[in-house]
Amino acid sequence: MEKFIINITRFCLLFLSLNMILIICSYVISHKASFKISKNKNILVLGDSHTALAVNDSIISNCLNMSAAADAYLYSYIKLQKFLEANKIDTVIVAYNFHSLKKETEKWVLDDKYLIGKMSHYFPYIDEQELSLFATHFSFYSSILKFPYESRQRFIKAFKNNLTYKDLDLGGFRPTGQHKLYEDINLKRTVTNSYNSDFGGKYQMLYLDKIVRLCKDKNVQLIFLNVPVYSLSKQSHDINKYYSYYKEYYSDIPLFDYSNISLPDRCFRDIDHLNRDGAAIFSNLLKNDLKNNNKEINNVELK
Amino acid sequence: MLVLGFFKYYNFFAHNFQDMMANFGITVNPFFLTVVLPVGISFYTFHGMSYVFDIYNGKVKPIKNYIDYSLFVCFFPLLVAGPIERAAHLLPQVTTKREFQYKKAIDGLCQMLWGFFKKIVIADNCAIYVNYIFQHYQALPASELVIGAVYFAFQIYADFSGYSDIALGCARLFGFELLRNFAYPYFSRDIAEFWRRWHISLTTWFRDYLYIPMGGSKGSKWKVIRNTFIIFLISGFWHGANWTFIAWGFLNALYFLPLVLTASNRKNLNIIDEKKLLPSLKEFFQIVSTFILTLFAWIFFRAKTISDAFSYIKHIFQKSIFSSPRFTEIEGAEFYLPFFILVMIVMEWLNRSKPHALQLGETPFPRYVRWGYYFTILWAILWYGAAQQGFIYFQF
Repeated sequence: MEKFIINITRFCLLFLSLNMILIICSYVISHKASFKISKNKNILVLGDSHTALAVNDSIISNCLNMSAAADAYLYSYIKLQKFLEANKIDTVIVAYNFHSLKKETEKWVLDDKYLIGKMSHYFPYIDEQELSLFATHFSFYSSILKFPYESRQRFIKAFKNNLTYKDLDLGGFRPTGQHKLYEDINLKRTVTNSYNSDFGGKYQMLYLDKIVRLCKDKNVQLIFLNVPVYSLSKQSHDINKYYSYYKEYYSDIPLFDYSNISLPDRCFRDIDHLNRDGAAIFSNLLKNDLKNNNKEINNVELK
Repeated sequence: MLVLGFFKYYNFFAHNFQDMMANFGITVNPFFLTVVLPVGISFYTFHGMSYVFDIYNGKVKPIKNYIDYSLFVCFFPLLVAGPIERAAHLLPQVTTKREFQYKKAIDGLCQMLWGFFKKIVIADNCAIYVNYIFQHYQALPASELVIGAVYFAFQIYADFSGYSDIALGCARLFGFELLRNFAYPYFSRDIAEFWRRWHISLTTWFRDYLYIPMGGSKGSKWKVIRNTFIIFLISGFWHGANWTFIAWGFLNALYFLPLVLTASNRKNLNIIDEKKLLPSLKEFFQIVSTFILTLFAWIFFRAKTISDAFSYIKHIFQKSIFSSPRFTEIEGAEFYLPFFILVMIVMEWLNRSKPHALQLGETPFPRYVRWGYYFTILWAILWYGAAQQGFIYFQF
């Protein structure tokens, strides 16, 4: 029994030590990453899959899209802090769509699957408040153990001494050539309740508020963006609550609302997202509206 | 049995009674239970029954110590998902003094490690695909449905055999030897061999306490057919009160019947190609065809309803079976999964004569090699493990 206990203890200690070394190395390396963006870019886009698929930042040349699928505002806030620290950014565009504040988006923060996926990218950048939020979740610790593996590419880059935000896989424009609109319409008819969740994701609300305050503190123009969606999509959201929430809390922030514009069916990947064609049309539209500071869009008619 | 019947099957019969009466135009509103099914009820009911049967058959004497009996029925590693123990096998181990054995304890840990690998890396990653594909099969191309069925075959194997490995390894740490539950069933050359290697503790339970007392494969052809169907239908029904499980049992009975009628059900009793590295072409073909048969039956096991199962199969036989699968919609899908399934198959094939794939036996590998080997598996679990999924057999 004594031999067993000694050997098992040695085994566990060695394994834990190796993991600790790997985690610390990955953490230090990730912290070295530069968030400096090119000087001609003064607009930062943050948000979830809606903006990740819709805003083509090669069309809007002064814009950097750092949106990512299932990115809660918590992660947008972390990115915003890092980019504002390192750059002079004039304008921040944040996705504010019908889905953003729904209760089901809570899963983007605390669901094991999302927590593990996101923490492997954001772990080095979270602060005490996020730490206390995640500390009671077992998956947070398993994501830390996964962190060295997820950071493996960063080791190579770090040795070359040119690790940047681009290597951290924190987001970006994700063009897709897919056109699954009709499949999706069919799917939404067969799968019920996929969109019937209530409005009011508390972590989304909390961190959206933090984003707003941070932009105000740093004197950065903040714009909310609601990208085009297929007409069927709006039927599955409580859009009245969406607009009333905006009106009640953020009416001073411009809302670029494109949910009512009509695009051909070929522009949609599915009922909620644009594909490459749609992104090209929409990005040109957004580019002009940003250039002209289009007040028509800012002035939201409460539907 | 009444307790099991009440909790597990009451609502099934009530629903079917309601449907049947509705067919005659009579509306009945039976009382439905809204209680939580007690964890592992099927397993400890069968433990208790085994105790009674083994006493009746003179294999074990009644024990007077209630704690010993409770430990036998509720031994924690096997409480929720088996293996289903026999009184004659486990009770003597409970009542005799056990001594700690270093080699056994280490082997137990190795078996647990292999079980965790199968559960966390294979089964939980397969579950991500399977859950999505079976939920959205109507809108997906046939090629993805085929992969969904293949992944379910590996999910249920890795999930259940993974649990069994964890239970057996854990029990071995405490000095208990539990009944083996899986013996590499996907290397079987026919369905009879598959059923000798899949969920062995349940199969042998039914064989010894039901099939053989009914006459087994002896007697007239009709009696053999009757016994075969009874055993497989009850086995299906044991898994849950749903027609899908009964259909799964029925299908397996159909597979098994030709073998038992031609007396070739005990043809493949040995370990396949024990001394060879690779199987012959004939054996490879037998393994693949047996796998395809089980795969087809698993569709019924996994589907929510019988009509879903038929619809899923119907959707498989479409032109889109030749399209390349995309899986772009599946969040958290692990694209290394086929590689890990291959690792599992290779590891189990190479160790098919051993009780589990991580048993190093007497091979004198130096410590750093062994530990490096274990570290690699642990890292695979940590790095490639999917988000936690419940064990499939916990519901039974």
